[in-house]
Amino acid sequence: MHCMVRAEDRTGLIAQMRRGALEYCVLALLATRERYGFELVQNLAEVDGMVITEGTIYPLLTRLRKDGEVETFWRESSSGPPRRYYRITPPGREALKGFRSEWSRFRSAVDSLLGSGR
Amino acid sequence: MESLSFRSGLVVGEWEMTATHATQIIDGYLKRLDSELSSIPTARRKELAAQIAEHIAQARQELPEETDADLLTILDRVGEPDEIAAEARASLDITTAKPGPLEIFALLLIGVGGVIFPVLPVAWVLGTGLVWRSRSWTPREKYFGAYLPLVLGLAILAISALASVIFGQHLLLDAALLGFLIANLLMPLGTASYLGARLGRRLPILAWAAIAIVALSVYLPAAAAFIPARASAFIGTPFGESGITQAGQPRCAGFYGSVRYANGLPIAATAPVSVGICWDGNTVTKSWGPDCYPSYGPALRVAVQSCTVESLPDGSMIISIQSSATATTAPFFTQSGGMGWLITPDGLITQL
Repeated sequence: MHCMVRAEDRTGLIAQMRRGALEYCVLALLATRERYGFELVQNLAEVDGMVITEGTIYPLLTRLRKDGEVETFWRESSSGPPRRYYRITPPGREALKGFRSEWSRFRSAVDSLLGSGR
Repeated sequence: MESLSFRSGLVVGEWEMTATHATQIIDGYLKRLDSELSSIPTARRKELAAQIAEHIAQARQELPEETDADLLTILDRVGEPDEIAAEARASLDITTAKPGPLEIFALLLIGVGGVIFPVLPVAWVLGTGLVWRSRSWTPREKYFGAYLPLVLGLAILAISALASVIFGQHLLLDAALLGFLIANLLMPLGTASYLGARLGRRLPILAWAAIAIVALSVYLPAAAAFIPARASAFIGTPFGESGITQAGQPRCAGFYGSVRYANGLPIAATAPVSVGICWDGNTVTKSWGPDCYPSYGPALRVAVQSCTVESLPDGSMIISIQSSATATTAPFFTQSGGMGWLITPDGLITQL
């Protein structure tokens, strides 16, 4: 039953996978340093294959903030109005750490299975 | 560029920008976003809208020179409001589906059902059942907007009925009637309005129009029951004079009285009475009638219970009509009116 995935579900599945992974990409970017929204979106968009609609990052950030994995603060900007910055929290780092190890195991497992069917 | 301008419903012809034009484009976008986000809890919605607005502002700052095309590119990259809203619902775990017939029916049952069938809040309970089944409202909206008011309304009905039994009519306003008004009419209406507002523009404009038509066609006739009936009468003589008799000479004319319900509204209906009368200065006599043929409107049904003419020993005559108007769509809303006119031997009418 679980293997019978219809075409439209498959695109939904990929969207879900991307959404799930994107969350940790955001956390990873914030783990190196704090960033403001526009900057964060630019950084993500620069990476090939990470196709995103810029606006959809913000619901994700809202969620992460609600879950306490990131926090926001305001900082003056040299040009223009103050900016809303995002910073990773200790629970956010924990979540990222957990995902990193899971992800590499998962990736190699999927890779080996996908490769074996060629 | 073609597709871009099309998507935003704008024709990019002038490349020179004015500040107000840019503001219009951005404001229009943010407004659409806000309405798409209507199912998101307020605090999150405001946060999201602010973030997107900041993002757009920053993106604009990066532009060396701002043109319509640049602005549209920015908005295009930010994404369609419904896309962002869908993402917000997915990531905030608010799974609401696009509203359809179920939601429309729920709104109508709750908002209009109490007027059509006000005896027990059956329609309200049924409508709340539909809300429970619906996936277009968030659990929070369902709780505060549907379940809680229903429980409160049922409690008010029970308490007011009890109070009415205990205190009877001693209270200024009968408790049961007050409870009925609050719990059967006002609360469901408020509930339906709130639930409807939460759906907002997710429900197509055509559906809103249909709801408005149904609501209006039920509320308007029902409201007519609260408008006092208005009576009027005149004597029409074939000679164009009225009410005057020459001594000793009987004169005959037609008496035309009417009771008008929902006076002033387009749905007004009339219960008329007409009697042929003759008077000679000493007595008023009947030559024909009385005829009472109520007018039937699509909204109000007028019924005549009695239609009588009575002669008094002093020679005057009393014409009376007892009628009622019932809302076609809300049969429990009825107004009855008894009206009488006294015609004295000199041919003058007095409304009783």
